[in-house]
Amino acid sequence: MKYLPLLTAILALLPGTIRADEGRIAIYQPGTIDRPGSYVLNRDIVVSDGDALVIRSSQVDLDLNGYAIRATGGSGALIRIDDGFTSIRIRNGRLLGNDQFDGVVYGSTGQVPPIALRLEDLEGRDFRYGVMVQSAGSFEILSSDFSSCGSCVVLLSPTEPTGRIVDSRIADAQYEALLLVQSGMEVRGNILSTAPLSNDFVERPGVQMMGHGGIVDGNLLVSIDNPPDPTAGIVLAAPGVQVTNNVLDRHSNGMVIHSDGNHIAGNVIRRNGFNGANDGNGIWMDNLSTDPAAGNLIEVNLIDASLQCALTFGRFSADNAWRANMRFANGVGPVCLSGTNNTDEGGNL
Amino acid sequence: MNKATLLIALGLAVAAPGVRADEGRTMLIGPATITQPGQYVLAADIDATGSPVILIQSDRVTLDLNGHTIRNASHEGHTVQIQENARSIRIRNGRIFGGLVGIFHGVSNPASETSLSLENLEIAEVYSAAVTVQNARSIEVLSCRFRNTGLMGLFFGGGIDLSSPTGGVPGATGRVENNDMRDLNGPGLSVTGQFNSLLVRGNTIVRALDWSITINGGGVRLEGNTISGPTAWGIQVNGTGVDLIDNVLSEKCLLASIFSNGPPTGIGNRIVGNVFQAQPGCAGVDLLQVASSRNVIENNLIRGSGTCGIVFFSSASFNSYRGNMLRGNAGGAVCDSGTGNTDNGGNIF
Repeated sequence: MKYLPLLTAILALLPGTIRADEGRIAIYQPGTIDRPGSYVLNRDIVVSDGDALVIRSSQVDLDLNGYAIRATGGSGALIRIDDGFTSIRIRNGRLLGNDQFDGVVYGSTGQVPPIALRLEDLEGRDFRYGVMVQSAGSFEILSSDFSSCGSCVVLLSPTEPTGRIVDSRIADAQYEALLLVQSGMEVRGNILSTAPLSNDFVERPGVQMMGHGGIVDGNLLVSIDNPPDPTAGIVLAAPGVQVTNNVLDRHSNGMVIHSDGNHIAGNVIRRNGFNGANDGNGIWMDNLSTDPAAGNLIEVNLIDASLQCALTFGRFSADNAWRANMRFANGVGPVCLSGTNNTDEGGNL
Repeated sequence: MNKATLLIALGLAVAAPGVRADEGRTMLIGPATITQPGQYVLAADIDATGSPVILIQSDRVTLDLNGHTIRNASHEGHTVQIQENARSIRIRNGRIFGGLVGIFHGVSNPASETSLSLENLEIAEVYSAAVTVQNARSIEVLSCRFRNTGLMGLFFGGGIDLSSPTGGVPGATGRVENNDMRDLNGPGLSVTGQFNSLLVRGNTIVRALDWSITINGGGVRLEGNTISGPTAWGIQVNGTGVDLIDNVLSEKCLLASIFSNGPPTGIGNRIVGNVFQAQPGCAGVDLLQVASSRNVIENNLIRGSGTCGIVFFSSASFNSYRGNMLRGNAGGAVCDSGTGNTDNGGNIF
């Protein structure tokens, strides 16, 4: 037994880490992970300024083990992944900022190599950016909760497709809950809300899809009333997105469509324009004279209580079609129609 | 505890390939052959130069990689190999890099079959496919990431290869859900053989240098998958009883082929509610080809074809299409060289 304290002391002297159960490496203070492996927190980590944990290795699995990484002052990132490292998984704990900190950050510029990153079972709040990733080849947020952020999740990967945000709550974002400059994204089963700053006057979306070919399905989206700041539930700026079975409540415009070839079906869109801003359309479609929003199909949606129109086709929209939508109690009418060859294909109520 | 005991315990903890961990699981810290049923857990990353790194020769084995990585520098054999006749195998929670195939189960015996569950795995840098399973009676691949496969060359290996060399396993079922596959030198998912029920849902497949999904057989439901990447082709169905529902395919030219190698294959499939948005500049290339019989094609958004929205080949007969959005295709909405293919109304031209 006399050797046990000695052994423990030697292990404890290893910088920031110690072997935990089943070969995982325990972390108990701020520091840097610079080797591949499986790491586990064994207590809360508190940081007063600067980055709390820096990951400087690929193939890292970090289990927060129910513990928290907390900021008490200053600024930085609770978890920063250095440029060029990939295959990272972070899960199972809390990230608590102070409004000046970021939660999980990857990429010092937009030119960094794409990361494969999975965030799972995390709770985070009070950030500038909840999750900020400059380039991701594969990106997942699963069963997590990020709230009270400037921007909750920002993904900037214009050339790198795919990612998944599923079964999570992304709430009370001042700017946007999800800003996804990434194609092939799946956004499914989330609760998403925005709470814009006062007198900001810039449209704040729940989800802004700026990459083509994604799925936005089964989400609940709501904005928190803060006149006169405008909000939108879903903004599509790239083509070929499937937007289905979402419920959107209390935005300035429920959906704003700037792109082509999207399928918008089976959504409930209600109380549009009661946010104090003077927009008030269920679905508003428009883009540029040189590139009109075209070829979208809008069907089987329920749109009610819009200050203006349930469906508004702007001057720069063309070849869109709508059918079998239920629309009622919309202030100006069911459809405000301009543009070119936008057609009612029947079955609307 | 005397000095000798302490040293023995310490030695076992760091060196032995199979010591008991807490919760009664057997720890692995190096290449191993598993010959007994039980729960096994990796206690360290493994760097190996010979294949297989883990050989499973027993039924009822759970292998938890525990957030660790198996790296295999050899591409002469498979990294994790499941021996013929080993049933009820579960592998989860870690990374497998390198080797010919990441996880392999092959058969030479027609009666051999397996039940296999793979979950939360990342498999990359393999010379052939990430996962190859022959004669699966039950297969689950859930929340996995597969990338950079087929390093041996073009068409040498993709994500998941399910085949039945013996002609199919009666009662075979499976789920392939929420996986992310990218940068593959082969198909994302290749299925050969009839399944009683195979659900393929919520997967993203990007930059597969082959068909992203190819089904030769039937009994498959493909739902809510996103497929993109500017190379190769989308989904090929050469089977019977395939449901292709609510998928989003983009950024390619040829997005779907419903084909037939002769009766009874390629008959009686449903293609419903999908978004097919071709990339710009697909002049002369079909978007959706149909060369088989008695398929239903409805409520899809089909846009950007270099020819027609739907192309029925001369071998296509008695298909029905209805309710599709078919605007924005260079050669028109439908080109029909077949027999008895019918517009059943509601298409938008």
